[in-house]
Amino acid sequence: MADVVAEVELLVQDGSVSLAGPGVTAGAPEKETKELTLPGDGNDRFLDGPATRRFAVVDFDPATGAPLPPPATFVPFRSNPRSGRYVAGHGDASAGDLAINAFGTVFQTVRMFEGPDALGRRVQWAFGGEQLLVVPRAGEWANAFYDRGTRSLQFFSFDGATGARVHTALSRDVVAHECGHALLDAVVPSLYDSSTPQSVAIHEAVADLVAVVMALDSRRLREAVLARSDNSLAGESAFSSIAEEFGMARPSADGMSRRALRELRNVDTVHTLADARPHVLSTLLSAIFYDCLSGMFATRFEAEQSTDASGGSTAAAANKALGTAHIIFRRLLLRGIDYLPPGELSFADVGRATLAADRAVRPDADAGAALLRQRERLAAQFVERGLVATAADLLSPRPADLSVPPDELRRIHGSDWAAYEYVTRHRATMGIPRDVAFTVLPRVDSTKVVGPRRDGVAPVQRELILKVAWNVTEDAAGATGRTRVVPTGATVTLDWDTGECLAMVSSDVTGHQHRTERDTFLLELEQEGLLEQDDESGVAVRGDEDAGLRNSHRLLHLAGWWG
Amino acid sequence: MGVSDLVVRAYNVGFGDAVLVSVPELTEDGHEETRHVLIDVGNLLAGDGNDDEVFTGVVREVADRTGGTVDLYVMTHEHLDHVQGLLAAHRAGVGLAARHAWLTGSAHPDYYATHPEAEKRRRVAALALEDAHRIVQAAPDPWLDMMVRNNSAGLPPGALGLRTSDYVDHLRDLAPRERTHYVDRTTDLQGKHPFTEATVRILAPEEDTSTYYGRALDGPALTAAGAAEAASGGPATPALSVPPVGVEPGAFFDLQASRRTGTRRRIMEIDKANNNTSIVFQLEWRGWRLLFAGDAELKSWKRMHAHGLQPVHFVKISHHGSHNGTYDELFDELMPAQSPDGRERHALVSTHDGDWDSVPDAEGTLALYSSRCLLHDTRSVAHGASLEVTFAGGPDVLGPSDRR
Repeated sequence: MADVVAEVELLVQDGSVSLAGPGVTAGAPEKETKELTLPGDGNDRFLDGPATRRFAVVDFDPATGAPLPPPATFVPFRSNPRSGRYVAGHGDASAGDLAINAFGTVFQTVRMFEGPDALGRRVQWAFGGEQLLVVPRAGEWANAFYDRGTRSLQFFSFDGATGARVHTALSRDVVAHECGHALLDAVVPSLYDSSTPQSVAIHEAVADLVAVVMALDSRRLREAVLARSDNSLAGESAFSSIAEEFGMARPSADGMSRRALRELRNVDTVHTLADARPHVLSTLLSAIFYDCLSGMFATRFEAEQSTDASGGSTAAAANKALGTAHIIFRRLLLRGIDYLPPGELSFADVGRATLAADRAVRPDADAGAALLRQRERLAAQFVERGLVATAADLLSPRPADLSVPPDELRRIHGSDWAAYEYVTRHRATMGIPRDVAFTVLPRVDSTKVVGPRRDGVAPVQRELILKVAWNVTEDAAGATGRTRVVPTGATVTLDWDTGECLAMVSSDVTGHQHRTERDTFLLELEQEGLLEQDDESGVAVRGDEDAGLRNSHRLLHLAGWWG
Repeated sequence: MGVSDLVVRAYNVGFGDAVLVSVPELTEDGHEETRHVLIDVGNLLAGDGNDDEVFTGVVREVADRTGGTVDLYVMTHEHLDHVQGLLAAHRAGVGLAARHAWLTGSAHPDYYATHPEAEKRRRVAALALEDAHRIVQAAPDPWLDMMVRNNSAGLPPGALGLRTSDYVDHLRDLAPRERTHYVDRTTDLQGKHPFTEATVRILAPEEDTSTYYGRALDGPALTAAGAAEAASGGPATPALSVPPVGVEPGAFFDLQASRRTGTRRRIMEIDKANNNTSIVFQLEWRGWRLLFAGDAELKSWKRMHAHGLQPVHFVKISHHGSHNGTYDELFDELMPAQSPDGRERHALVSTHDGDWDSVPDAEGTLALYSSRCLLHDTRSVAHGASLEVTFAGGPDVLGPSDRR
């Protein structure tokens, strides 16, 4: 059955930022037409709202907060009434404009995240339901957030420092970023309740990087950035700058004007950001990956020029190189996310998972020189920024004894009993302490494209991803005898066809340094009075017996904490 | 000539406070004069605890006892259940004047012009109140309506019929202008009270009331621009009572509930902050120490603790006996397990049933007081009537009594 399509017009960047350049506002923001696609056999339709099974807009009256009817109408094509286009109301920044832009960007972000060039599977939302609500007019605030409790992405509007109106629902970066939070929560839900500053910051870094990937998804934006930057990603650009309109509209906490909410090019280290809050700390990790993207592009641009495969045009070579780098970067980043173990995580864990996922597709022994240099560059960044002592600290084992016959792999996938039996048998290899209970999470079946098409066929690799979680308990700062439960875990990946172990990634957050950081974080929150005692949705200590944090993800959108 | 007792007289005015303290003092020529201190008169504007007619009788009785002029009137804070009564009675033809008046410092007309941090918080609070006001106009919500009215000092003129600030304005003129004082913990009370024998000390509020606002206020607001457009444009789009087609009902209703909760949380934060601006003062007389706590909540108690709480013989329990009005961890400072000087101790709760789910907190707060002292409760007397707690001015200081 043919796919179902909805045509939408989406902003390329922000509501008032043109392609003219970062820090430059213009009256006519650029739009591009996109086709949102539902599989024809998916028992799904595009409805007014917009709405589908997995995403739906809920609109509220800005003046009274009352829920309103759908602001955008789905107009079917005459030739094929299952498909059509979304039509907004009249006027700039109408309710329909906001709804369509937010919905369409969310739709495309999830499509990208789950596509064969990324996870290669559909994720289950962390809140358990099927539908993520999108609230394009959530109210008056310089903010936007993902909220697991209400299964929603909420986008606010505000008047900027110059008086200009800013609608976060019209920002591709902001919408993709918040959707990135929802997607990461689906893949690693344990990060929502992190007690480790780097764990909280991982959420922010990944969300920013999802925004980068979505910005790269726009061919027009790629061309515009390259044309302006003399075919380089080394300087400040629409890719390195997150949420330009928002940042320009709202000075930083120290009152300085800025050109974007965050800038992903920096030379910070874990030492220079020792006291930074999660939003700022996140830029350490996102800068490492942005550097990796820059390197990928530079390498491919050089190759395109040397082979003259783009017909002699430097611009064409640059565009082709950036298009390729976009795909490779997306695979590298998002597949690494899929390999993250459950529990608290460090930035180094993200590095380990990323490299393990990349090596699971092509081990170093089989990799070409360019791929090896790419991995070395990524690892070197983790070393230079003080996150690990040596590149070897980012290596993950591929224990041969974790491999299984293919028929056992299928049993592990389908049967909890078989999965628990498997983990019990290998608990020592996986690093599960003696006498500690563990939980095996639902296994994941993922099929990923692992190389360029040959004769119209893309090579794929099918994997079984198994995650196991357990807790360790440590002493916590503050009252005598106060303890903290630290969730931790491991990820094991098996080749679906052969049963061979492709990777094992374990988290490493129980050391002295991370414990000290958790203590400092907790005391800071307590001193600032940020820990709610009687609000289940607020940031809080889990209880008298556990000084770990609950809902710490909410810190990312508390005033004064988001940069 | 006999020595009179100090009498605390608490009126049952519904959910609110009306407390008259009569303090006998010896003058320089050996005569006894009684100084009357009236602390708040008001009640809640919604529910069973609201009844404006009760004020007429209560204020008439106060006027009868004081000759129509109290020596000191104390407006602890700008909440209807503490300020409403005197204007209501005045409109019914029963007037009352004061020789001195204390109003909480932040009620000063110029307060926010001179306290920029408090002004920032006030502005945010005002927006939240206006939002809540619009919400209750769009869809009835008795609880929210009551809270908006109770805190309506922050609403612009014309938003409601009579606002809290209108009642406060009446109180500004109760005493001569030069004897009307806006006070806080730092106020030098020399010459600002009628006492010659008793001493008074103000424990709260802090001068800078921004300290009483928490982060719950920093949430989203409705769009004022949207309100203006709605007011000037055509007919508003009718609100939905059911989810739009294609939207999962459970998720839709959960989202709405969460937004309501957010609004309520912000209004509660404003309410708490206003409670914390309560004047809390201590009156010492012939070895007795009495504490009148207004509606002070936890943040205020923490500040008072930092500046020194002392054991007392009497507490007007804060905030109508709610759990928030008493800081359990500091209770021993006010009411040690044993009375330090062996005198009998008392607590007074001025409260009403059926208006708030958790007020009074019978099993927690009231039980705590009952475990340490004799608890007096305005619910034990008829509507409009009063109970009395007396403190002996002579040698029999160990045996005050509760008369009805």
